[in-house]
Amino acid sequence: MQHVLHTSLFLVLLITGGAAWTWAQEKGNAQDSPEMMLDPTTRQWRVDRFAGNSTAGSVAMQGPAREVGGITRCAVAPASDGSVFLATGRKWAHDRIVRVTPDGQLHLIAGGGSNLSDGPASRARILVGTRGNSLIYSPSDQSLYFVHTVVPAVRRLRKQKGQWLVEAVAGNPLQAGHADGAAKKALLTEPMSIAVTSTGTIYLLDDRRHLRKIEDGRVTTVASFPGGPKPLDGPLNEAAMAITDMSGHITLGKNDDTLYVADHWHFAVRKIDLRSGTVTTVAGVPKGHARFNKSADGSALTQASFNSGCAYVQWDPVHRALWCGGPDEHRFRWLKDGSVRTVIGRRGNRRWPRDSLGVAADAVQLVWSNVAAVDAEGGIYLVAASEGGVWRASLSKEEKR
Amino acid sequence: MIRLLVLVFPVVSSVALAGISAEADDTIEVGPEIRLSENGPGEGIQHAPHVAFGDGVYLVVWQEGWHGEGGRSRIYAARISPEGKVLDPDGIAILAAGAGIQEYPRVAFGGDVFLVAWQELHNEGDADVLAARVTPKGKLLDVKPISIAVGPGTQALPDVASDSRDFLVVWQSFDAGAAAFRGYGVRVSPAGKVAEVVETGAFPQPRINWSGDAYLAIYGDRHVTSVKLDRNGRPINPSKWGHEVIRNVRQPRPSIAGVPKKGWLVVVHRSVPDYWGWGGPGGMRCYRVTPEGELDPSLEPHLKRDRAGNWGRLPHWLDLGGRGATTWPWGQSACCWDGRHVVAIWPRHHVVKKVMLANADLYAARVGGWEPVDKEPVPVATDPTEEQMPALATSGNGRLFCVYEKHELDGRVFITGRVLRTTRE
Repeated sequence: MQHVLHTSLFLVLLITGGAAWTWAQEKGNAQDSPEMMLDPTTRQWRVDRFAGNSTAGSVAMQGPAREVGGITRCAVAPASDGSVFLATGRKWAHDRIVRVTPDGQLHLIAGGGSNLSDGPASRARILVGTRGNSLIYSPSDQSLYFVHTVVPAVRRLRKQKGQWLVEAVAGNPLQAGHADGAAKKALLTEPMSIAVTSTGTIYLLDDRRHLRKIEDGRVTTVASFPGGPKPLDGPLNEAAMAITDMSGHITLGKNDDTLYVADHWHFAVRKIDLRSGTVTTVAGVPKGHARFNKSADGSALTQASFNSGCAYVQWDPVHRALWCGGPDEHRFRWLKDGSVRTVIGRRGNRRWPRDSLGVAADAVQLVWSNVAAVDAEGGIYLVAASEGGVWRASLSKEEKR
Repeated sequence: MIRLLVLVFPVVSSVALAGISAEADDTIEVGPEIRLSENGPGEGIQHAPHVAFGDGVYLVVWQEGWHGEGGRSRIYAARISPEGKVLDPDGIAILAAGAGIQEYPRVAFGGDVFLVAWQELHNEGDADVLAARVTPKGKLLDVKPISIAVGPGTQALPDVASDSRDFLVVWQSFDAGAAAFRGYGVRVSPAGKVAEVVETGAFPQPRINWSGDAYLAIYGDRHVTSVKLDRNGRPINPSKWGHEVIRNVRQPRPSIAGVPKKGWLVVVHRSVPDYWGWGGPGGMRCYRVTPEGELDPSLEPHLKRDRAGNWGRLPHWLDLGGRGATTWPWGQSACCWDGRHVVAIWPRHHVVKKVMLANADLYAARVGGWEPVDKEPVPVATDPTEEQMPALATSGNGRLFCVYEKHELDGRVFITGRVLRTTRE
């Protein structure tokens, strides 16, 4: 009997010890891998001041984009004609939309009024979210779509007979709720982030847990994500998401059937296959992992992590990569070929020539930052809460704007 | 929102003047709302008002019309009597024939004329600072505007004040080929003669005021900084360039009032709300700057919390917004010396969804030294529509005129005013 007990104890110790050794090995491997892994292209990237100036002040101005003041952390939407729209203004609610034309001049387009109904942009009350992908240009109908959680509608700006007009395309700006149906009779709750397909279908993250679709003049609810402590993958209505008030980024991927979500409080990038209706996790180690919450680079699912949650995702069709990061990060990283790597920025707190052109990528020092948009030339628009303005990063072999 | 005008008229008297009771308690009395010009060419788009008083009239200036892409905003003016009567209901076009977009008008009275200064954006990105004189009779003396700063590059965001003899215009300039903005100033005589341009060091977004023997310019983006200037705009003590008055202010929109022989009062907001409370409470704060151009050393700047963790309102604060608060003071303020106190007026926003600021109202208080005399702010404009961008001037004897943007729900914005009174007659 005593022999049996000894044997059992030996086996338990062996199994436990083996598991512990395996776990320690994995942890050791993870810790051995550096938390910052530079992408091979890093040395080729250059960063230019695109809009704003650190000496201009906070009063809104028009004129040469690199000289104007009043450009806060922006939402950015490049248009197909080479101009770039910026939503800017207050910290939590951008109240102006401006346009930087290809000649580098910045013009006010909308804002300054109080009208939430359809009408001239000069009288419109503009509210654009500062956290989600809240401003996006649709080439299919040459419209600029925008949302904010305070206005329960998807609205758009477009030019007619030389005048910019604001129009609600779904929801009622004055009434929140949740109702599908004809777009202008449907009710939205808190629009956070939008994505527009090549054919003009709009996907909307509404109220943190509803994925809505606006297509052919109708609003439908594609999924209602349950919450939960773990990022459960699976069918759309069973996959758990943990999106907070402060996040809510969605972006279309390599085609119109792929949607990425910054699943903030699961610290993960999630991919939705809209055709099959399934959700999978594509980046971010789980809670409990040694590299969790560290903005670590490396293999997407076993080494990479985001600091203070996963705050944004931005698909880059030119480099076929997904830019992603946490809200507190100092670097701009992309997910490509199964790994997350640092492309632009560095840690530390050193001064850098923030108003200059052609700054090397590893000199950039933007804190609480994100990639706000990518243009058709592969230009990356960088914004940060630490300082106002917009920067454009590009591979040096690409055309300078 | 409840109209609070009843609170603003504590006692109604038979000696009412322009709707103001003459025997009210010792407080700020607020007159009825006056719309300055409804039929201007801007079709209900009026922004950025400013006001000065001289020779028996107020002169209000504003930008009329859309100033964005495709727009052609113009600078307009209107005289207002001390009792609040609009003397130029159709407005005075300061430069109707000019090209470009005219913005950010400022006005001061000196000698025997008003000087209006503004910025004009033209040639797709070249901004200049221009000015024109208007007499108290409402006559425009400079049909062709005075060129204040018209070189290549961006000359913008002017301010103007007077030492009662001449004017000083200041602005920020991004000179052609430069890497950063710089601050400049120039003296302008009541005859319209422009003196030599000098570098003030005051940028960005300078604001100036005179207090009897010098100008004080305040400026800055993250910190409010000050520099004393002589009548010509030259820094009086170059070693005091960049003397920080108030640190760590996000998007500051400070206002400044000169107090004869005692220095200046600066009014500026604190932070905006945030989800975590890291930015601390919202506050509209007063800071006295001594005649030497330094922050009053008696000021205690440290924030304090009570046992429940709530931020307290410091003695020099006009208004407070704490975590979970439904209102939050923030934005462009205005202040001026009324002969007995400085009167300050500021926007108080409603807080939506924990952190969003919406639907600003305007509140006012008198300030003695750097402490508010009115411990409870006095409501000035609290309609369901938004009121913001106040400006303030005094005709003396405790009477003032306040102008502001009133945003109608249909999207129109009108310059609106009210007579304020702080002294019983």
